Amino acid sequence: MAHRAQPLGAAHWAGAAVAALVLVAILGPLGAVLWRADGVGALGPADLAAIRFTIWQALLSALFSVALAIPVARALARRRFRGRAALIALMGAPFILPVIVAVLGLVAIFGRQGLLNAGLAAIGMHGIEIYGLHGVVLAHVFFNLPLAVRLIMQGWLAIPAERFRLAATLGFTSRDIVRHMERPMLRQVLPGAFLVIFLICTTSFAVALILGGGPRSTTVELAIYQAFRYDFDLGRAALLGLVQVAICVVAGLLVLRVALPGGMGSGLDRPLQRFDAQGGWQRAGDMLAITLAAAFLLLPLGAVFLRGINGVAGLPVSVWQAAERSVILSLATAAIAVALALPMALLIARGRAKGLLETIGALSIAVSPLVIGTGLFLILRPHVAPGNSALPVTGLVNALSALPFLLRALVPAIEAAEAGYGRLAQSLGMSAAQRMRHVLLPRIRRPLGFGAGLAAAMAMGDLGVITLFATPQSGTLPLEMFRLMGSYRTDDAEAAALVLLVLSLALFWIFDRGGRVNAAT
Amino acid sequence: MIQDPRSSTPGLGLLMWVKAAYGDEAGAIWEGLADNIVTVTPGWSEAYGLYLDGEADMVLSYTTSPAYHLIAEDDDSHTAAAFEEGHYMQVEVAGIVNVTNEMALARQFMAFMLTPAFQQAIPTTNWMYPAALPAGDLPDGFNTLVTPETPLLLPAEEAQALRDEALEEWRTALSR
Repeated sequence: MAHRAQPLGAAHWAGAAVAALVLVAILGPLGAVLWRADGVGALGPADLAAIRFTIWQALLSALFSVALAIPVARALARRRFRGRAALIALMGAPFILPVIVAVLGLVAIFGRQGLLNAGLAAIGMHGIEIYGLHGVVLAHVFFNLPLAVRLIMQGWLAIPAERFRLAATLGFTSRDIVRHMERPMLRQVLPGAFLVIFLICTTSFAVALILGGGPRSTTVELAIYQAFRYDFDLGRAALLGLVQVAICVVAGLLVLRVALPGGMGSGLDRPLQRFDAQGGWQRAGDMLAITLAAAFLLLPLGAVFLRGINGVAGLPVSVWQAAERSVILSLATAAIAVALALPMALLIARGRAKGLLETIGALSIAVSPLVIGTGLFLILRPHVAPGNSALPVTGLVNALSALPFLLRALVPAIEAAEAGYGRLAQSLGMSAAQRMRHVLLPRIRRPLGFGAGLAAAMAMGDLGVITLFATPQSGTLPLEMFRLMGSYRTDDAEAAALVLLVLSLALFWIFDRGGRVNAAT
Repeated sequence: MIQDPRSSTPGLGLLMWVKAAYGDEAGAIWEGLADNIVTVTPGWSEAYGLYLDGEADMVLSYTTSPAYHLIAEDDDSHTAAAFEEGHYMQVEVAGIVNVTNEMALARQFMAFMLTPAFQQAIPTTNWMYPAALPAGDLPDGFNTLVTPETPLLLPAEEAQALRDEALEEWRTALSR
């Protein structure tokens, strides 16, 4: 982005204001925890071990998620088949499931009594053990592969169809296309995708513990939980929260430095047609990638479905009331997330303080939801009853958590639109509003729909902040599900998990679909 | 299948249980147990869910857990193990926050909690023993449960003083 076209005026300031607001909303609660602490203390050897394990498992998880996502994203971007859209939407589901539901789904396939071990035993082979570092990575890949696929696929779909036509005219082989078009695109998209997944995995708690097999797999997040819940040692919690911020800032600055700006130019939004990659081997390879990814992601979901389906009709009314609250919460979260993300993305796309702004945007997934939640609790408690603020606070925190994903999806799209049409729009003397409506919005609809859907679905499945604030009257669906699980009502809990899965997917589907109206891809 | 003492009260109870039953040998006991532990979960719900899925043959839970399966599901296949060293008690409490501005109301509710109507609801909703109900008034099925010979419970101060050391023993033994 060498050129600096005319600023969008007020949008500029709005972006800066939102960035400041986000910073306050994340660091404010951390500061509040610190403020109430009686001194910070120091990190012990157990903490250092936790920090090492946290970074190591997050690195592995992010590497595998991104690496495995590349062939899947490429296959989905260049193949057309019946049910493709539905498959893409369904494959996104693991990302939005509450951890415990997903873990039980995974265990149904990979666990000791799981499908895989039953299959291995049937052909006389040794079973596999899911518990250990590899189990943690497996689960994190299960959660984040869909996200990586979507982010990388956006990159592929952003290469204009005209480029592929030109490549065909010039007689490009597949290798040439990889070298001149796909590799530069990946260099632009991969670092960001890697970063968000790395950061999500750094705040992992239940997955790391359950599948990690014991205290070897202690993460920083667990240490924070312990500091809050057992010792009420706010100083230690805040210190560990600061460690998370440091990990985020260092990772953000390192990774984004590797990223290249996009340079694919723009096209006429024709439907994509790939003249290369028509060979039998390539088709077979793509189909294999899609089949394997679909099996990996959908089998555990299938297990969740089968377990829940029988109980849905008999669910207690409290579950449906909680479901209604959850839907409202999700819609509000999506609206807040878009309102925060759009101005910030516009500002970032203009290239002002890019690294800083993206890091601020990424902070919300790197800082423990427990720290943010407790901080907000300390700030709000003197003024409002926690039960009354449960839903607004959950909405705000989830909108903040969704922000990095929206930014990752929006920024490249805005950059591309500005690079391709910014000068034309300027020479036509379009006003900021006209430019927004005719130039930007049509081009960012797809990532905007995706991001809003993600925000809605994330709020739907949240089981973090809400646990600190909610009363039975303001409980959300995941909370209600967890309550059922905690009182032995496994069948009801499994049915509630299915309702949750279906509602999250439906919300995501509607938003995502809305973003793709009129789009051939 | 056990719970993590750093995030779960039954998990912490197990830590104290081993400490109360074995004292200074607790570290060695944990080392012996280490390779029999499938995994450690953050809370009771996860551990029990995994146990019901067949991931482990035993789970750290309550002696009253079989009552749920027996009474609500008519399933007598789950039983609690009886330990001659004794069983650690899990006590759940209700309390009044001393800065409340509804003290009278809170006390009234506390008194209500001790009435037979309230107490009778505990066994088959919370699936634990109520504090103030004659044993004969417990619902059918509770008479089949294992009743520990030796209840163990460390005094609060002692448990507090032992905790960090016990936690470190546990962490070291299970981190091998």
